[in-house]
Amino acid sequence: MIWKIARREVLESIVTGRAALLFLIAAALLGTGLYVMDRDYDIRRENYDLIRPEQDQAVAVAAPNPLSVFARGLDDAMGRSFEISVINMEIAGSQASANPLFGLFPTPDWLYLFRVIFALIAFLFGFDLVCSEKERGTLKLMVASGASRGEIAAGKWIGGWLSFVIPIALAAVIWLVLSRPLFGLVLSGGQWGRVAVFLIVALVYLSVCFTIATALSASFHRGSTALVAALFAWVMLVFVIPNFGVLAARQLVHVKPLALVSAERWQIFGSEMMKAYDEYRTDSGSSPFERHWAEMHRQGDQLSEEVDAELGALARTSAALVRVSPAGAFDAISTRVLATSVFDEARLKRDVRRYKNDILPQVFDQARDQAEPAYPAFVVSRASLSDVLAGGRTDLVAMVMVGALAAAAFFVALSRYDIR
Amino acid sequence: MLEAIDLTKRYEDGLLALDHLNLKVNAGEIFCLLGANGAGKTTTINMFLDFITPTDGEAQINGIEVAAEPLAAKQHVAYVSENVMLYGNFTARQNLGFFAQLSGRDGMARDDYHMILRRVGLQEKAFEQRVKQFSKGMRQKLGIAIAIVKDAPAVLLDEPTSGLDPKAGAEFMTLLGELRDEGKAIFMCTHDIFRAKEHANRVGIMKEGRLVMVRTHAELAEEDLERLYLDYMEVEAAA
Repeated sequence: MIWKIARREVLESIVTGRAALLFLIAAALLGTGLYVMDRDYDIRRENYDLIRPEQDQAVAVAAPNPLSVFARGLDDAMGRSFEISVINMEIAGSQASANPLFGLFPTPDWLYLFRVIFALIAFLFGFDLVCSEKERGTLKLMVASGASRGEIAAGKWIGGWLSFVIPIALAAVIWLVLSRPLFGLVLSGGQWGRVAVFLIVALVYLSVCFTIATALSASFHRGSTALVAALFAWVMLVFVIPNFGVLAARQLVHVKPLALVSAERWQIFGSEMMKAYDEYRTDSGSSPFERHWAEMHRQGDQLSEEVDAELGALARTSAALVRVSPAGAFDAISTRVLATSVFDEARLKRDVRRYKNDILPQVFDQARDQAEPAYPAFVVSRASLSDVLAGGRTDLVAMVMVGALAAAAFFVALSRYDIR
Repeated sequence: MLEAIDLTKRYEDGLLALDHLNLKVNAGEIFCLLGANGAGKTTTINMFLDFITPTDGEAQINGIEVAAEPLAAKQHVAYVSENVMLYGNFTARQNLGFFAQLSGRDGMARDDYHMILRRVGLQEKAFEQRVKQFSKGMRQKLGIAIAIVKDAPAVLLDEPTSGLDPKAGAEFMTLLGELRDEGKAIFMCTHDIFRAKEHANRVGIMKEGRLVMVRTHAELAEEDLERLYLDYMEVEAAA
């Protein structure tokens, strides 16, 4: 019985052309997004080639992440180069795209398309799943024919889900296959694995959105009312709750303002230089500067670690609040899987600091002896996919829980639905 | 075949929609139920189909209590609603096929569906036409085809001829007569006094949730059903 109802649902989607239209829309959006983001990646790659350090430069810079084509996340911020000198570590350059419009509009990466656009389509596919049957009188006939309400709920959910997910998944897979021959996007096996995980998580997210919409469809008797409720739910889940979560976390967790951090750095610099100068004035034969530079770096690192700890607490609190919404949880998991998350940025900062401390003796040597050192290449450490999945498990569970609650609400609402 | 035993429905707002209804529709019989809007006709059908649960009493189909075993009871009944909308983007045959499958009639061939559609008087060219292009009369014919394809021993019809032109209405009633002759128990709620008198084996009048009158076809041959109906309604208005 369930498959008969599901089959009819899929058939209707094909007969009305809804499936074909969705496939074309998905293909157009995903293709455009992939093209635009791949071009942006190429530009950032070119910028990286320009600022990539030579062996005699104490510069830490990470290459742009090709996975940022799918979820840009914080990859721009992670593309800054850090120049290490005896007195400081400064941001020397960036690989960010020169296109200022990227700052004005949302980045059209796949993460955005799935999180916002396809989520809306999921709501539009699900909002009238039950109430449209009531409006055309077929729900009565189905129940009178002998189908149980549970079978109707399961059949309609499966059929609706298949007719919605297959066109999008098909369009995504086609573009992934074409991404190398058309755009020259080259990914390693591991990176393809991450893209596959991202797509699976995206489909889980869309399923959750669709299930919420179906629960709404079984809670209202008129399609127009269900549509308004579905749009309201979409706005709340995709925009309001994630944004509110970030703003609320900012109020709950204290983070030192950047200007203050900068002022404290200069204070450390001034204080240590004054001490070094005083020592040098007392004993002109001594060479206190190197010792005080080292002390200045030590205090600077301590300050950075304090700030990082505060930022980490802010990120964790934000993530906890944002994951109430499936959109927030999906965003968090996706950026983790594609290595453009706030946690990856924090990891990069730690890598840069570690690199600085590793090469600091050579930096001092260069300052003292005017030597031409050969610095080791800066290496970015990446969390393994299993670590990433372990880290994103809470978000995934939160997302699936919302979906399970919505599914339960759908079944309960339909079992109590007044089908007259 | 269809039996209501002290069937009662009182809604949460206190409205008594059905008050201890007792009636029986036998195999090979058409029972027409007349009554004003809100008299409780549709409520009766809704309880036979388990769309709503009774406050008291029982609705039985083929001896099975509907509220206790709704799925088993519904295997023995087919239903035609007042306004059969169906799936507009599907053809008549596709609609019929879907509901046939839901009714457990798997494995029917295209010709089998065509035969049923032909029987209900649908034109051949309409078999493979999308239902959204159908008139109300055509949709009602398709509705009765869905009831026929289930081949259930009882058929419930809720004002099936309302809005039909006289010719379509007459064809519809002829078809019901054929189903009765096949031994089916037919329970029809209607406002159509003249067709009820002409085709029904028994006619009941319902008022404020109570069955206030039942006459056989033979008894009605000597009485003016319209006058009877209006008399009952006037008593209601006077009260």
